Amino acid sequence: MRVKLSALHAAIDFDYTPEKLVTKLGDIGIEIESTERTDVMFKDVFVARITCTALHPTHHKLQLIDLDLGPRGTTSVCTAATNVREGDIIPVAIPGGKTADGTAIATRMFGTVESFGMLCSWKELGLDGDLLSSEEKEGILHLGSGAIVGSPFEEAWPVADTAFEVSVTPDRGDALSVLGLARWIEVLKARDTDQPFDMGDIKLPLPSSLPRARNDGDLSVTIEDQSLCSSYIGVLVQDVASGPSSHAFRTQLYQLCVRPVSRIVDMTNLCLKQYGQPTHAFDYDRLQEHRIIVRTSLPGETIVTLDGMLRSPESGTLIIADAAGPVAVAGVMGGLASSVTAATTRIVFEIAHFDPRAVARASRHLGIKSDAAYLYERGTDPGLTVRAVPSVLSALVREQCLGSYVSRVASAGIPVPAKLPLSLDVDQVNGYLGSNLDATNMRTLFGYEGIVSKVTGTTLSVTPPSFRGDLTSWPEYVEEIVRMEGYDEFPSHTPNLVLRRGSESPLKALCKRLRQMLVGIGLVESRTVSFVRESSVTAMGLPPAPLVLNPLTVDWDALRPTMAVGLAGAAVRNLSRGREGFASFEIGKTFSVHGQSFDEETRLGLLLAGKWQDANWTTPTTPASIFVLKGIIESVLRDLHVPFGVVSSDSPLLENGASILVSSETTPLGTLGILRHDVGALLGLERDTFYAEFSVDALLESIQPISFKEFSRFPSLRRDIAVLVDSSMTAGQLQTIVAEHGGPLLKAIVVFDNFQGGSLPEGKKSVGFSMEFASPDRTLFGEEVDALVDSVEAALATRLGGILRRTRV
Amino acid sequence: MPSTLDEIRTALEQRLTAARDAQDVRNAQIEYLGKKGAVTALLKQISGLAEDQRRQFGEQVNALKQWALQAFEQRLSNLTSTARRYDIDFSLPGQLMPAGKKHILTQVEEEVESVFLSMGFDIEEGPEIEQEYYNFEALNIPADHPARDMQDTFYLAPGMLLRTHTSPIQVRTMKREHPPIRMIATGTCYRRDAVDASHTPMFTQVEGLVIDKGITFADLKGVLQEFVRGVFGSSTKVKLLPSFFPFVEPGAETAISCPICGGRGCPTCKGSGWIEMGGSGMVHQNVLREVGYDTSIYQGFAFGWGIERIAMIKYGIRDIRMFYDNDLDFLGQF
Ligand SMILES: [Zn+2]
Repeated sequence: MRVKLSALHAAIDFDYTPEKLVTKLGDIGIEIESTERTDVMFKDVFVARITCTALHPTHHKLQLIDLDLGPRGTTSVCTAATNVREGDIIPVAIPGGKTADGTAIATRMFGTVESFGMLCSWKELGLDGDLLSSEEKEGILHLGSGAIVGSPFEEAWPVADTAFEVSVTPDRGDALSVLGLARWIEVLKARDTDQPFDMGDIKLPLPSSLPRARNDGDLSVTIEDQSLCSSYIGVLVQDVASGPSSHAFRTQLYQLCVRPVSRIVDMTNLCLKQYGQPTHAFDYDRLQEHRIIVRTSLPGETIVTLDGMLRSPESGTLIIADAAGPVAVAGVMGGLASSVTAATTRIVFEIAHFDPRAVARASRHLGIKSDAAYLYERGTDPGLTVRAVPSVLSALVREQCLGSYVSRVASAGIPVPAKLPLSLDVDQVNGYLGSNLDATNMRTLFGYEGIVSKVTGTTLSVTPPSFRGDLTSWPEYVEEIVRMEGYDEFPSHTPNLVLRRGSESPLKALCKRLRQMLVGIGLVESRTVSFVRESSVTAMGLPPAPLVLNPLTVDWDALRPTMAVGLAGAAVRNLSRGREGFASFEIGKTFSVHGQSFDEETRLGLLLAGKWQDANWTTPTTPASIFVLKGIIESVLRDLHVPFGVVSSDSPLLENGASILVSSETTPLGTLGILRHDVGALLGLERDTFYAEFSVDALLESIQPISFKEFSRFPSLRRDIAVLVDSSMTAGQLQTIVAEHGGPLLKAIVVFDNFQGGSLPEGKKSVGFSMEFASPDRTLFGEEVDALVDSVEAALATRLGGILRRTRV
Repeated sequence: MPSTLDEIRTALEQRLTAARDAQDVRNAQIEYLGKKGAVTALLKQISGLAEDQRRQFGEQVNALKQWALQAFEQRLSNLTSTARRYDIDFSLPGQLMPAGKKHILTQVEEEVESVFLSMGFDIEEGPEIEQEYYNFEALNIPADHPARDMQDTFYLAPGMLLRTHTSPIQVRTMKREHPPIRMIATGTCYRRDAVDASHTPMFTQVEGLVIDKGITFADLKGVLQEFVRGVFGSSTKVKLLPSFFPFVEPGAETAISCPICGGRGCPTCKGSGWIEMGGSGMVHQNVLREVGYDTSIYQGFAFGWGIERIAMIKYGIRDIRMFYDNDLDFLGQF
């Protein structure tokens, strides 16, 4: 909510500086988000009346204007403006003065005519365009009736001021008006001076009786369900004069940060902003049988609201109806058919107290966010509804609409719903806060806020004022004690808790461990947005992803079924900026949908593209490859003690023939391979990309317990062999044979070479193994190891028809 | 004082090895070869020996003397030498090592978690796709409450949404366990906020909850104080300000003394010396009742802070979008 300092000063006397006020209000929970100071930037601008207009003798686009400046005499100017007529009251800058943007005003010749100044528009005066009507922003600014001719403009218009942007939490509906803020300023004053809260300090008119009426004209008001509307007052006004508001009223709107519309609308807006009470104006002659019925809607009832939309409120919505049907959605928006038009001469003003929940429900269901609904939802003051606002509005009508009069006031409901006192136990309060206050302290604190309390021993009986609808249970009163004592005044204490160890889930611990391992290997962790574009994941051939019903953009209309999209996005971002490599992983949730139910799984995605290792003078560049990726996975699985095997996979994300499924016994852990080229292209990746995705949940299940195994303390012996075999033979098949025939002393096999082409025959490849032999209880002899290698060689030759290329020690 | 040739040689070797500077070596030289030195004493013995022994012994003592002179010289030259054995250009970079990095949000998350683990808090988890009940109703946010406007929500189906905060984990934990409860939860949350420098539709929260007999508002302040000391440094102070969150009463906004300027005022804290970090308060009675706790016995506090916010304040990051861009130039800095 935006409001100017001058409007607050008009409502209550206080001598806090704007900065101090911001801090003090913040300390009691009313946040001023920003303040904006406006100074008078122009000089020598006065209010003038146009006494005569004539065309310029030679310049046909100019007019000669004679001006009356009251006690300052008369003058004349030339103007190109077209919206000026005799009798208009306008601002004029005289020679020696300047406009808000610093342009100096001097006497100027237009042909043969001398011009002694310049008529001003809002821009030359530096006014806030957001608070002006479109008419006011067209050409020269017109001041309404009542502006004093000859007075300096800064006296006629509240230019120098400070605007506050007030941010109010949903429970602080009582601060959403000038009256509300004035009450909180009174609370601050009461606390500063240690005096009880006094509504008498508020300068706004707060009459306590219903307005006087002439009692002609029929109007009936009926409330069908008092739990949804505690009171409703209809004020019938006859002989309504249309047109803009008076100058004084108009400038008051400027201070309230309300843009003027018309007399009637301006008055309802003033009640809203000044008092926090929404009001609505009906055209009396368009209310069937001049009846107002507050009731809930019936099935099938519809209404065209002020914005021209046909609305179908769900049955049971709180509405206002006349004899024929709905005329307004209560507290949300009025109907078009009963709205005020230029032809309206008789108006019914609605002043009511609606149930916040009923208004909120209707506003949400119909998707209408109005200022009135915003206030009603946060709770309005029922005391104010009945007491002050009808009279304030009636007084405004008399003042602003010449000739209009209040002809009838019809009301229904209860005047002010009584608030029951609540009992508060001093020990309970202290036990909740960790404080040490006595009953008298508490009574004083409540007193600052206008909460009445009676002390009986260690019990307080507390009754809130009518504007504090938020106070309904004892913890809410506890909050008021903290608020008044000062949040920062409260003691700080470390709780006496039982000593125990904090724990985390094995899954969480595994995620941490995985991150640590992968970072150690040299990958960077990414965190990407969980949203993806549904059409993209469908195009990748992935199962359907959960759809977001109300996505922010079409690019984010589904939840990710894979980590690949986000990681690819991160890769594209980095590679497109000239990076030559990207090696990253992400651990997070992936989502799936099965009929009506949703599922989420913690997964690890890894993506390598471009260079894996940068070069410098010590090391050549290593490009990312499928075997770098496989090496990372193997290293992680070994470190985690997850036994695993691989078979070829048919993952839709990976190239056929270049992808494997990694499993631990029967549990699939994940897949790795070359990202399918069309998928890469879809995600914006141009080069070969290597991608792996693993289920962290599956990894967790597959971790084997660690138990110590005796190891050899004797030197080991190494033997290398290379074998020429058919290209179709896999390294794994060869390794199995080597392992079988190497016997129990064979400790490790390493593939040191895998070569095809060159001088080798077509369809053949050479695979080299390095074998390490060791015994747990003795030093091995070269001869016995050679014998083992012989048997390995023999097996390779007979089982596979492999030709030994060379043997070396 | 050693007396035989072998003993003298061994002792001298040790003496020279232990010598730390040239002066020490010269002192040793006097001890062995000076007028009263051990070797000099042997030399003096030569003339008193029989003819047949004199020659052999003389040769041995003279050999020892020559060796000693050389040893002194060698050691002296070692200690005073400026000769270079290597000439390495250390301006060359070292061999490249793997340059992995945890995401900054992970780093902050783990830091926060370790602070609370050390205070005996359990780390709880919960689903990101959440039931409306756990995200709102159970937290005292009924369907038509204006507080729902504070959290614009992504829906997946009627009654199913993306959690807007980590608070549903509180409810799930309380429904599963009995007091005393001491937990935190960190995790991804979603709000339908248009993307700008301070909003992303996805962000990370840390949520804390303590429920027991006699837990007070003062305890909340004490725990938050420990938390900010752990994360922002031991001189950081905590200040509570009134605020509203439907699931706490009294509710408070937590501010910390600005870690950038130390509270003197700077652009980050908009000159106030304080920075708002997140919400907290005493758990609302309606929330405790909803999970079936006896509010006449148990009470406690809760708080919820943004991990991004903590990282932004700690490192002076101005744009929240950077966390999800994964630019290596950004990630590599932390
Ligand atoms: Zn600062």
